[in-house]
Amino acid sequence: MIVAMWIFGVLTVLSALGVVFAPRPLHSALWLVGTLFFLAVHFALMGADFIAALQVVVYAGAIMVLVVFVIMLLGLDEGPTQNQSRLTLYSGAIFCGLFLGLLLFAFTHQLSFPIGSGVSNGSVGDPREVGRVLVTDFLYAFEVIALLLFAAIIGAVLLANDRKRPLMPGRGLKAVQGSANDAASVEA
Amino acid sequence: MNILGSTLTGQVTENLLLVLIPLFPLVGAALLGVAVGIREDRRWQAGWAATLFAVCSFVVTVKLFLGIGDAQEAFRYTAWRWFESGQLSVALALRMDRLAGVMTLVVTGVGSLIHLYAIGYMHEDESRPRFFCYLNLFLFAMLLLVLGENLLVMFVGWEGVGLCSYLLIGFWYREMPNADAGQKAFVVNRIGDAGFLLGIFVLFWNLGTVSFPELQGLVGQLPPYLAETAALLLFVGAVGKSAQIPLFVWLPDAMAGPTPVSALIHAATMVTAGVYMVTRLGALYVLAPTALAVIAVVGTATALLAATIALAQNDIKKVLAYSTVSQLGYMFMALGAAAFSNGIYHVVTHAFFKACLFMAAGSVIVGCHHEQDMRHYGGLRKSMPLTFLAYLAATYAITGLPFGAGFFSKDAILWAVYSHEIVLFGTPINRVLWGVGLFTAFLTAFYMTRSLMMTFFGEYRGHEHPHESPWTMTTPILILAVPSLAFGFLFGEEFLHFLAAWGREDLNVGHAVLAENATYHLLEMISMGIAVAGVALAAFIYGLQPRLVDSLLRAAAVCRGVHRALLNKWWIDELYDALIVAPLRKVSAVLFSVLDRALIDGTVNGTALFMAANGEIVRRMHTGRVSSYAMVLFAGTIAAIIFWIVL
Amino acid sequence: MEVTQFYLVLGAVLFTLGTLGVLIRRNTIVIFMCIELMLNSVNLTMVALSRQFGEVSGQVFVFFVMAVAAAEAAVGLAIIMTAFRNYHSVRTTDVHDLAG
Repeated sequence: MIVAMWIFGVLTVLSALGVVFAPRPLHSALWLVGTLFFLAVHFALMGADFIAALQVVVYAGAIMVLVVFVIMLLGLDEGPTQNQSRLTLYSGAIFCGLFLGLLLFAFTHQLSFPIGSGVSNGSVGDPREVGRVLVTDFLYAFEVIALLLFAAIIGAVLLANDRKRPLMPGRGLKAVQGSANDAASVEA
Repeated sequence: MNILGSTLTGQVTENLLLVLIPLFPLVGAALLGVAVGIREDRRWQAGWAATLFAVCSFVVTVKLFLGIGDAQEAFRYTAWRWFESGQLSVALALRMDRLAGVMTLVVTGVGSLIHLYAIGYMHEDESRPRFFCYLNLFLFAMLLLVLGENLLVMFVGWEGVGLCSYLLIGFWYREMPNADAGQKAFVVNRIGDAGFLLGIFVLFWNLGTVSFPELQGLVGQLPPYLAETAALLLFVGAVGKSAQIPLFVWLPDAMAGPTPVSALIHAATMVTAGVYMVTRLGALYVLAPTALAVIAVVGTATALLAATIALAQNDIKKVLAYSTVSQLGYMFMALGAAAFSNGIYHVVTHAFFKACLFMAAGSVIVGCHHEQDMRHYGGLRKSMPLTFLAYLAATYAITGLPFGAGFFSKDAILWAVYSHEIVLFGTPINRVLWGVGLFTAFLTAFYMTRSLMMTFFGEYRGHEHPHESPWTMTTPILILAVPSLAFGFLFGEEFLHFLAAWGREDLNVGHAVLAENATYHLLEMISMGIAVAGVALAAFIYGLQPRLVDSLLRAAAVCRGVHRALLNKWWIDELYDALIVAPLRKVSAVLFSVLDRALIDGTVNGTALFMAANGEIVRRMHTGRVSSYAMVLFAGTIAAIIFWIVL
Repeated sequence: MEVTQFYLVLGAVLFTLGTLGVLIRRNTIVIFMCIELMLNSVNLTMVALSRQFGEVSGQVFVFFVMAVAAAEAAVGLAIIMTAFRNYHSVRTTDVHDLAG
């Protein structure tokens, strides 16, 4: 397990680097799919089978498809995108280095666990157990999440579904031609 | 009504009636205030409405007055408890005893007549509704002043009449002098009001009450020095309101207002508020002999000074204004001799004849197309016979010729002064005051006859064709002419008896008994002779020898100097300007540039500038770019983590 | 290296990488994906700690985080589309109407 853990750990970090530094958004998305998949492997390694399955189905399956759809729809993958200004770049790098250093320092020196406690408990991660807890102890939160998803669906439809203004002025119907000026004025 | 009738019986009903007296004009003022934008062709209604409210108030007053009890009794009405603070509990309460009854009767009666008169006088004015609104408001405030049960309600009325006086003096505010005159009246009155307030504080601080009936019983507990202080401070208020030296300068200027205003506010009612207030607190003043002596001296000096100035004035309203100041001086002379009822007696007769004089003068002014200079009058008795009759009657009254109203009230005052020991700085001064009063009576007779002769006799010297005024103006004048002549003769004794509680013991016995007193008889003869002499001299000079004054002025430098001094009112306005106004302006200018401009404005503007500069710096942080915000957020997170680890 | 500690460190590295992406990238979609990366790194630590303490509620939280992430994806992408409609760009540098 330790070996697999290390191999997939390195792979995860590499693909995450790909997400951040890939010049084209579509490549970033593909790297992210990889990262999410490797994370699912980690979950499986830790015995969280239910979460691992969810990771693949929800993230790699649903959310990433949505992201790739949007990229394709908007035609955003037109070429490498520029990064921010040098100042942003450097200060971002410095802050992140500082942050990582702090976190590592904290995790290696400040935290101490009772080693191995509960690891032997095989029932953790069992889908049945997770499901039971979900609809008993966390029933209320579960219902709220259902409501949240419902609201998100409505909100997304409302935001995205604007018939008066096409996504691509010039490519839309003649009737909406006038709204290009409209958009231009907003831009101004 | 049945239910009301069964519960409200006798006294209670009358107490409710008491509220109606000030309520009528208040409602009138409110209605007219709302109706200021009344249709142009209906503006005449404003005057009739206002008059109606005034008359209603008068009718109720008469009804109540006839049922008034003896001196200790009073109608009372407490509307509600006004405020309470510590041991001070002030009710918005009205109280009408004999004294207040007399004043209320004068205010509403003369006031109603003047309202009627104003309909005619103001019939061409565009803003009549505003005028009558102010007039009704004034009536309300004056009634509050008179009927107030305690000093604070009186003070509200006191300030209210001051406000209305200001508004009405500056009624034609588009012309600068009018607005200035209003302002002057207001500012000068404020000086007096400050003293009045301080007096109220002294009384309350030491006696714990401001209610008149309670004060009456308690003032005896005051140590003498406090009684003197309170009396003098309150008198300062009276000096302002009633135009005595040194605060009399506003009253002549107040003639800038419409003539009905001069008649109502600046002759008959408001200016006598000071006399009323001192009388109301008579119990306090008898404990303060020094204050009384001061009052007597101030009153006498004012009477003399104003009378001398009146000698040389050519503006008919100015003559009457200085005459008013002078007559007010007489009233204070009476108060100074502790003969409060005599003061009120003169207030009443003065209200009759001076209101009549003012209204007649107004009638003349309108008849001569707004000419106020008497040098452009003359011979008006033919073209304005009714006005002439009224003016003649009122002049007869004020000059103190036998059996006119002024004869009785002025004599009563002179006798009160003569027969009462008035001591100032250890010297009895009552004889001196009496002599000055007598001399002033002579001057009064002289200048009033002069104005009569210049206006109604001789040849007409103006250019416009004079005409008689409409009936709305002549009726009130003629009505007032009657009591001007006959009031003292018919009711004088009863009047003084009626107010005996506010008079001196030795004067209460009345005319009949006094007639047996040889000294009194002698003095009466002297003052009668003086009046006759004054009238005769003026009639001789201005009737028969019109050139005499001119030649006298030309002949002697002394005469010219005196004349110039009188014409310029002894340069008192100029003196005040140099001594008070100019230094005040200089100090204000310095304060303005140093304190206001540099310090206060500097601080305020500096703060604003500082903030603006800060904003200019901070503004750059708001790039509008999400990533820079995220960067700052992240930096904050790192700081929080460091904080957590270090701790 | 202890398993839990390894995963905590891995989570920290992934989180930092996600943050770096958010800070330095201009493309809103990429930023969005980096946020997903950060969310996942947290999920990783939660699962690791759940295993450490034998406590199933950690995994329940992960479930909730995923649900919220799904909602966020739906709304966030809709917002990106609306922004694109108005500005014809998804770059953060082009959308700065809040500039003071």
